[in-house]
Amino acid sequence: MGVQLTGLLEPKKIDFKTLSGKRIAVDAYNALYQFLSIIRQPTGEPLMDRRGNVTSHLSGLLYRNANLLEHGILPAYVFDGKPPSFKKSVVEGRIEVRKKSEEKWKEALARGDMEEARVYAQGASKITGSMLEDAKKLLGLMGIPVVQAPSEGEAQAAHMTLENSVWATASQDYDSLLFGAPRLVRNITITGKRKLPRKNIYVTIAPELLDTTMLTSLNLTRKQLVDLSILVGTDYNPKGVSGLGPKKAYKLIIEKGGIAQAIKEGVLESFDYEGIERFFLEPPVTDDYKLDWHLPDEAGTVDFLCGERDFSPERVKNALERVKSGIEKGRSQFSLDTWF
Amino acid sequence: MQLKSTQIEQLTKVFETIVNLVDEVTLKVEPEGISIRAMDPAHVALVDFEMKKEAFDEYKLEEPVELTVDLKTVVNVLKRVEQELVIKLKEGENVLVILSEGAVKKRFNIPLIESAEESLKIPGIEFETVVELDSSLFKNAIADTSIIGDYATVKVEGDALFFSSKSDENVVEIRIDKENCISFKKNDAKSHFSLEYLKDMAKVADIKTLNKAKLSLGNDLPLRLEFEGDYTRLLFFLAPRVEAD
Repeated sequence: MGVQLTGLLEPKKIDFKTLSGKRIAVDAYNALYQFLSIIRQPTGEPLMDRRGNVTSHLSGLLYRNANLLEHGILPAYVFDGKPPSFKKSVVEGRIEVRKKSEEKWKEALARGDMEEARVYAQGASKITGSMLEDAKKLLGLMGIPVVQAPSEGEAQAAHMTLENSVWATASQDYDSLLFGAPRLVRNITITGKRKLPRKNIYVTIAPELLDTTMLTSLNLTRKQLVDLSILVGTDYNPKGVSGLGPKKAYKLIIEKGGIAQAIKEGVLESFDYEGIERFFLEPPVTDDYKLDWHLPDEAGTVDFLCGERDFSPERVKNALERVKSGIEKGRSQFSLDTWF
Repeated sequence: MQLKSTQIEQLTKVFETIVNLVDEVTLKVEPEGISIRAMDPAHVALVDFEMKKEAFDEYKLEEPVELTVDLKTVVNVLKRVEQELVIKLKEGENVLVILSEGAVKKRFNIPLIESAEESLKIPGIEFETVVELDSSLFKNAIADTSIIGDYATVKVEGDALFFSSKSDENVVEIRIDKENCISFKKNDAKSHFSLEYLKDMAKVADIKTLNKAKLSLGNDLPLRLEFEGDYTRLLFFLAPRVEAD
């Protein structure tokens, strides 16, 4: 999901070292979906405990955060609040896609076609209320801050970046740039080797950085980027304006300056875009959040993951050690930024 | 541009210290000398290095240039240079040429990188505590404290400078009295710093010309650490740590 700007914005490959000592606001839903679609059994089914509770996302949260913290990166997870009313049709569309994927997954399983099964199982990923509760509970036990956004998580994460509470947002989607984030990092929760769907090819995924210097070099303002994205299609108008891909839309925005001008000059047919534009430029956000990293509640985490969710105690304890030393290290070192 | 020097060791050692902090640096070559200012990715340490043109045997410059390079490669090359070092630019290309003149002549071409960093400022802090001492005393104090812990408490109390560290039941305290310092502007001050960074910085003490270390301290403030020689100055800022307990 999210706006498709690939081909226009070229992310820069970075090293985890670049992110060391930095606070990052992670788009929680985005990360949980990534975990849920990647961390699967060979049949395509998510990991589950004995009672059938999905645990793929918990596994992702535990080991990936241990990994980030070990690199000196301090993640905070930002959860979505109420989506804007105009997102409703998109959300409904997604439910439809998910249902279809689920049917195809079951068919493929019945045929014994494991390759297809895995592909459709990923499309069938969904995050339920109890999975969200589990995720928040685990983050709390691990000492990682959870932020509740009034509306879109990416908008709140962008706001926190603008306020200098964190260094960057983290998401696979580019939307936080539209919401004003000066920096966006991708792939930090999914680095490593990944198998391409339907192919026996593995690719290595490395962290990437997108920042506002990229907009400057494209001669785009944030508002123009928002307009460009609306033309290409966003979560709130997935189809965009027909016939306009990122390159053509970019040319139009550069030539005309924005959607309003393009419509006025008759180059673009009038359409309803102002609401979406305003939402990207002035999304609902809150200053009511606290970013404190605590040492993990080790016994509590073991009780929850091993006692209730059937994780292996040895692996959990090992990951918790990494979480603990990462948080200890990360929160005890100041950066020079305060003194400039 | 053509710079020549027979003081290769000093430049190599300085660059070796900087490479611990950053991979890429922008070397500014200006009429009065060369300089580097860089900060590590975590923004914990900043380094500011200047070497005046007088430190070179030849300093020919048509116009100021900024050379962004992979510092690791440059350090490795400098280590292979014997007798005389010559640095120049390849005409019309973004390539730095490093020559080693002597019985055997060596030539290394190193491509320049596009610079991404905007220019860095220096933290603006007024320090009320400044202690100057032999850089070897400083280096030894860091070596002693790092045997015990991961971070050092550096403080000035009364008429002495203290370095201390602890882990579990192990404790180390180094005391250097005012009489053994070169200058001593006192005001009680105490901050904690990562020894991982301090150890790298202390290596500068091996450079013969940089035999004085000047420490500026405050309470939970960054450390300003300056090494100065005749034509060379190496300045560090290191952000403090929160006390562990």
